[in-house]
Amino acid sequence: MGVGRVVTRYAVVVLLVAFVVGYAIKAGIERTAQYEAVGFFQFNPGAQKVVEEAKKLGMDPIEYYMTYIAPKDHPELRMNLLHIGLRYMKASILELREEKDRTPTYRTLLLILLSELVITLTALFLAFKGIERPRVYSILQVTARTFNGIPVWFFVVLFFMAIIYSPLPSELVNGLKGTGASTLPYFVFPVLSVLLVGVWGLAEGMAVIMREEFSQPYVEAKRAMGLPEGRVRKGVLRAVAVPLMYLWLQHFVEVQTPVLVVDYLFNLGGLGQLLGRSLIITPDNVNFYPMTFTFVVTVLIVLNFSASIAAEVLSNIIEPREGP
Amino acid sequence: MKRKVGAIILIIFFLITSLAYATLDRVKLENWDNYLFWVAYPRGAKPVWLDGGVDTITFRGGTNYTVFDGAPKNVVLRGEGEVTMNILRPDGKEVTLTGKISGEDSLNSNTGLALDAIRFAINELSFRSEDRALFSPTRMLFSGEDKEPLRGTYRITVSPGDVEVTIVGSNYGLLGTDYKGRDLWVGFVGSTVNTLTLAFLTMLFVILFGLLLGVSSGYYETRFGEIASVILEALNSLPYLPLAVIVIFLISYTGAYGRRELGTFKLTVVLALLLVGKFAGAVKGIVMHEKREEYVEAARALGAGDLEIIRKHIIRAVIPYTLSYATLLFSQMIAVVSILGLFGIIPGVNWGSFVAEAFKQSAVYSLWWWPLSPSVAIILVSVGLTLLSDSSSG
Repeated sequence: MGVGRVVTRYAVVVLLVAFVVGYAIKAGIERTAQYEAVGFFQFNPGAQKVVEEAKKLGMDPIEYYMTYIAPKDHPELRMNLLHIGLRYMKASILELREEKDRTPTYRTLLLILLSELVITLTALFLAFKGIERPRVYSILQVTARTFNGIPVWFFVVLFFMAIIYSPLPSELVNGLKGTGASTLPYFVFPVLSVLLVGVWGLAEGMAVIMREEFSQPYVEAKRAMGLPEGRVRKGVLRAVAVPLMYLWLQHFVEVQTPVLVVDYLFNLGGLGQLLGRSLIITPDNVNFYPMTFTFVVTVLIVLNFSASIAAEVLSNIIEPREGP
Repeated sequence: MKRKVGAIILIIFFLITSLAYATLDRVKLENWDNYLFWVAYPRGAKPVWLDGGVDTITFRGGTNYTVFDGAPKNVVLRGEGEVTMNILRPDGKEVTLTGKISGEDSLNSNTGLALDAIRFAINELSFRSEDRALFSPTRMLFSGEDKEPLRGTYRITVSPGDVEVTIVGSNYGLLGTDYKGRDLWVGFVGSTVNTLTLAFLTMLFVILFGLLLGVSSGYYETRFGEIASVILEALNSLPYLPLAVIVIFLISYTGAYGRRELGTFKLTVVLALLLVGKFAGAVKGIVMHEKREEYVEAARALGAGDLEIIRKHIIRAVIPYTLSYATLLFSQMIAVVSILGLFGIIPGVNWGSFVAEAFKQSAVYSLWWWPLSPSVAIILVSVGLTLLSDSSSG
């Protein structure tokens, strides 16, 4: 595919996200400025002067306020949507310099890392079993389709019940406590939840790719030569490394949704909880916190972009069918 | 065989859901987010099929009601005008309550009925005026002189006879109530219908947009096709959950009871646009493969135009895949809708918001059947769809 193509793709992603974020931010700021305008014309002694000035220009006083006065406090009102979005995205990434802002990112990264490690190893194991036994392969196909329609909260509910109604410590569902390695037990059930949702599709995909490779004549030839099965498998894995990596990459992007949900429900204090806190809807009010929201989205985009670039570079290095 | 089992599971599920929805009290569903509406209902009630609680019964005219261990929580009346309620208690004492009701009212909230009950409790039992802070009028009415629930059978008569009376115990309805008094069966059925409708419509739009994007980007290897391909790849790389949250927030507005309001059409189109990438990419792959087939080349040599080739040859190759993928897509959309509902962004009650509310009210600790009910439903639908698509997937 090429690094250039990845950069183009993510440029489109960034522009799209920047546009949407910019629209949301500008709409919020416009609303705030309108409230301020009402306050200005009610209480500010200089309001009469502004009304006269607006009259001279044939403008409504509120329109005059929004055009000439509000942008002094809210420079975003003079910017286009893309500019606002990109500015907030840049600012949110700069926030990572602060330790308190890094913690949610670290926690989510840890959850993704642990989940991906467990999922990838389990998927590989299941895929090999699926290649060995057709029955396992057909079970994999059925489970992949079934679990594809089950949202991750289903497993969270089951694990919550299992924890609450068993001798397991209930604090495992009450949010992450402690620091360092002591927090690891809190990740066990979140990782299991993500695993149960994400492993089947990946295992089936891996099995499909590897089955085709295992049916190649060179594999039979290697076996006929008496090479141990482990070495044959290693060779096959090396041959399909690139398609497997692209399959994994797509899975990596998709698994972030269950990770955010699990983080949100298990109170892990990661990006999922930040996302939940960025938009709070109550019967009386709706509060949108653009910087928090932009932070979550930007971190995910940077993560996906880095993974895609790494995959491209790696694929150029490990592609076995090319070279001198 | 598997297909038949899948079809049977789905048919039974959809029949029960349709029947439940058809017989559902729409007023309750419309007032799901209006907490004032549920004031008269018991809070945290168990379902009627769970033992060990106080029964809830509904009647007109008269009935016998037996108290075992606990007193009922409230007496709800539905009707218009002056109502008289006569109760002959197991201790032989008789009490008559009168009050004026309009629509739905209850013994605990109707001034006339409540005052009569309190007056009886103070005059005939050992209650004091201060006890009103600790005991509801209903609780007083069903208590003995020791202020404990008075066991035995009560003869209750209500006139006029067309007034519908519900004695609300600690067990209520098929799924009990939440800690705001809401009938969970109403929420469950409403959320099931809402989730399935949204998922189905989103699936239709994903297929429609996916076919358009996939066929055009796969067939035309021009600058347009290239741009469409980049857009498809970008859509596949989007963190769709946060983006869907913000886009739906932007195009929706706050309606009654702080609910987010958004037309079903708009909502499903937006969701489909965000989720179309994967399907469109697969269609593009099929189209690119198919257009190099010999029979397509032959049709082109015979003078067939692009539209004719797409209509007669390409679409015919894409349709079987689309049909097979539709069942997969439908269950995927159910998961998507319920995950977005979890973040409170999908208008109306749905499986996600239903479960989110259970988490908010810490219902997993006590009302386990609440979060479990949509979980069971989702498993049934998912297994049914998987089995149904079994032969088509091959």
